[in-house]
Amino acid sequence: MSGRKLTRGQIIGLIVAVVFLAILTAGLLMRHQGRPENTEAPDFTLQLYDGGTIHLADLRGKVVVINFWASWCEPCKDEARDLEEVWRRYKDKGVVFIGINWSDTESKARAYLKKYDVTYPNGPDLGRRIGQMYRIQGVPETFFVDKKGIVRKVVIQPMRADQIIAVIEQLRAETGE
Amino acid sequence: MRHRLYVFTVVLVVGMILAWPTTIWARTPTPNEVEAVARTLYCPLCVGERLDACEIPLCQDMKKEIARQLAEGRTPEEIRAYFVEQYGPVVLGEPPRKGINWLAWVIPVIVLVGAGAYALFKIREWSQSSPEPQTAVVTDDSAAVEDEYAARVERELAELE
Amino acid sequence: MADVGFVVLVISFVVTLYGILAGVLAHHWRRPDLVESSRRALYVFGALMTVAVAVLWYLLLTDDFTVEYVAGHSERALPTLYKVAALWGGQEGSLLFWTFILGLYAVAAALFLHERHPELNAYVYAVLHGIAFFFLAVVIFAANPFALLPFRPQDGNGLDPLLQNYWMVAHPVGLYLGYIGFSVPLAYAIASLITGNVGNTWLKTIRRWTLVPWFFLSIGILLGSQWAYMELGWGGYWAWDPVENASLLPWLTGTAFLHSIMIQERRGMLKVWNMVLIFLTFWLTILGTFITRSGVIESVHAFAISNIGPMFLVFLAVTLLGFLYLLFSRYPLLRSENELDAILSRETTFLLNNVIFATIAFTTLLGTTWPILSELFTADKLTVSAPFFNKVNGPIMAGLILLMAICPLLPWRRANWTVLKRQFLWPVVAAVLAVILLVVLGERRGWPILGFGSVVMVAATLVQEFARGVRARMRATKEPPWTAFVMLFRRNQRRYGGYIVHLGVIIMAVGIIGSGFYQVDNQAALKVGESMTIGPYTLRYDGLAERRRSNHAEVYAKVTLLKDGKPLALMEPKRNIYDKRPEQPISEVALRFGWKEDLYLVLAGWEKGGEIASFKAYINPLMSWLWFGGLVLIFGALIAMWPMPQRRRVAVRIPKGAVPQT
Repeated sequence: MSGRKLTRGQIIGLIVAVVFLAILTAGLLMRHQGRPENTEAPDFTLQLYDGGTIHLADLRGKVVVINFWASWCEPCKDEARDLEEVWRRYKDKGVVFIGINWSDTESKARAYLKKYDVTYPNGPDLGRRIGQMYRIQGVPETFFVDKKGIVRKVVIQPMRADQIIAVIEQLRAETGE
Repeated sequence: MRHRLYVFTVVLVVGMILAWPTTIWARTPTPNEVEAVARTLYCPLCVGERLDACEIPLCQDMKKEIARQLAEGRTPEEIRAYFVEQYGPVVLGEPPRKGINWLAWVIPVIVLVGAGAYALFKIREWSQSSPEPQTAVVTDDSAAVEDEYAARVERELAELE
Repeated sequence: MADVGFVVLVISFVVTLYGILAGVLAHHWRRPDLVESSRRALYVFGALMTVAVAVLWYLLLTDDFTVEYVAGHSERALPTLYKVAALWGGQEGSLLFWTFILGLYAVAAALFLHERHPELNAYVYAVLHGIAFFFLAVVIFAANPFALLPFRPQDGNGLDPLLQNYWMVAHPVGLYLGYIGFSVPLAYAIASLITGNVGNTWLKTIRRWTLVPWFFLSIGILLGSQWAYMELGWGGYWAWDPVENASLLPWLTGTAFLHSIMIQERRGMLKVWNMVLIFLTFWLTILGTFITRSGVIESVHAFAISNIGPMFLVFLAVTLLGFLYLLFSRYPLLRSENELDAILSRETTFLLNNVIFATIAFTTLLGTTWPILSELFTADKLTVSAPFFNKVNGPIMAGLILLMAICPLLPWRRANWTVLKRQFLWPVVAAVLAVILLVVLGERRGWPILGFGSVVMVAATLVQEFARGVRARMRATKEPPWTAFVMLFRRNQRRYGGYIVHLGVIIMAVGIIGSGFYQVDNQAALKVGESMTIGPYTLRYDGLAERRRSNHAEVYAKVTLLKDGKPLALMEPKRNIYDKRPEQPISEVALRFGWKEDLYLVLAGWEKGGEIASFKAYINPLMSWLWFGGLVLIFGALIAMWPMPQRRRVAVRIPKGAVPQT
């Protein structure tokens, strides 16, 4: 091709093609992006079922366990009591549990919390925004955040009490500086 | 006096007991009403599946929630807005008309108008630089038109094999 | 045995690489022997792919579960038919199948077309080898169907229950025979651009060829809709799901191309359009594959997310930018040979036709890929489905039907009032009468009125065209009417076959409008012996029963259909519960179809062992017209593309002052 210039129509066509390819590339990159791990935990504010709110950024200096669940999720029920048990043991020891109810209905969620006697803070993920931030693909998914606010471990299956404690103890032992 | 108060209370209580089921009947939505609302919503988890066709537990819960809200007297629009708040705009099955998503509705219109303008422009450009056209002599005589047509058909048929 | 398959793939990979080089060098070094060598390499490629596919079928049919693909998509108890169909039931197998069909088409092109345009052959073969090379690369490096497991499982996972029905056997085959067939016209287009031989002659060869993949793609899409209708149980046949849209996009550009090509043949115009349309038709098949297999858009139909996404994206980018480069550098060669004589002429309508099809394709692509944009720029994931597409594409498609009525009535070059009056009189009268009839019957909604009115106008146009053609023939050859009618097809199969296709389209439109605007539904939970009504019918639930099949349990409800108290039929809506996937029961609809309407019954669930069962019932008016219209469309396409004995060319003397043809 000689140094001939492109016509207006050709330039438009080229721009459209490049833009479209860019969109596809971005989409593919997004799809391949994993969950946030070893990066700063995305900040959020959660309205709690018991009233009040909880703000993740306020919890620096503590170990935070973020658990995504839903009342229609069978494996979530397997770990519900374990989570509550570990919470009761560690709540005065600088560890916070946050339960995020994902893609669920309020009445069913509240019934679930009552059934498993869950006392740690729980709230609905309105619009599924928080789940989107953490790029979860289902429930249950548990994110362990250290004292500096970094996500250190992601578990995408139900956990037993001893497994939860193992991670918590490791993160507690670190300093918050 | 006490006797009348007693009778009044009994009648009131019995009346309420009798009337209670009718108030529920008046408000309980039929499966068709629930279905009609469900058809305008999409499952938040199984992408692209309409709520009335979706069978997963979440969708069953959503349909029960629709029934509950219809019974409370909410309109379908209010129920849809509730689900958008709960699960995000994914339940709408179309881009919401705000923010960048408004573009999804506008761009097709722009493209259609633009394409139409392009077509008109192109046609004008083509026809403006054309030489004097040579057309066959066409009279009002319908038989002549028919013959011309017949001849043309035969020509085209013979040529285009 | 699996290793044999893999080795065959590797050899094919080398062969196609050689084929590319041979073709390219053949052109630049002017070596006809290299051209012939590249052509032979296509035969070798085809033969090798046949072996590879045969190996995979052997592995499936002998239950060789050491092969990962077989273990993942088959089981001992799977009926043999589905073991055969399992070849294309999963990601790896379907990509292998794609490459195999490419081999078939490449061999066919090499066999039947090599003498037509020798100046193009070198690059035609190189391009075909190039496409094959890409797909082999994907199969070998990212989607190997011959990968082995480190152990031998007792039994496989079975085939996805959604795929265990007869449509699944035919629908993908139709689609693939459609998609891949467009590679050959593309190869010719690229070859003509590279070599600079952009003359109109190769188009004539290609236009008949292109009918074949178009034919298969239409069948594939129709079968897919039928599958959705019969198996998915929501009473509809098209959900505007990304995978469905992916099959529609190349069909739209392919249809536009088949029309637009007529203008280039007659008048040497719209050359750039035709190049772009051929390219897009091929490119959109690759894009569709990318969308449905990479996980970029989520879909109910999608295969599992895999690693092939990046490879396809690179291929898409390279081919798109490469094509644009070629197109822009050859632009001066693609100038129109003629000018328009008048605004109101057939050429104009063809341009409008291209524009409308392109717009529908654009908005479909926009809606399908919009969720990516939304997720990039907002925090929300979106589903873009029927609500969007019905509102946006619906009106445009209605416009297309109107165009279908107008276009054949306009003469080439210049329309004249007398001619126009004659052409349009009866169709317009018929349309107006139809509209009046609808209004009298009580319809007040704009869309059905417009839809039915346009359909009637097109029908009248078609009848008129056939009548005129028969009369003209009878006048010219003195044949009896029926002979004249048949001879119309023999003398100009493309035009009259095309009219039959249009007839098929409007019959389908009737089905779409009827079922879209007049559907009636009802749902109820019934105890044994109770009834529900829908329209004029009564449905009585008589009980639940179960049958055992080879790999699933079939739970069916016995429902008696009554009208005016008289039993008409026994309907048995079912739910199949597969042994390997009990959490994924499949609904089997009970369907009673007829010309006036379909009665569609779904078993939604049951309680207490069948004491209470819940049902969804739909009446879909005129639904069968959609399927019948599809058959007519297919028949028309067959007429248009049927190979006829070559006729001798006769020189026609054009009388002075008459309209000169191209």
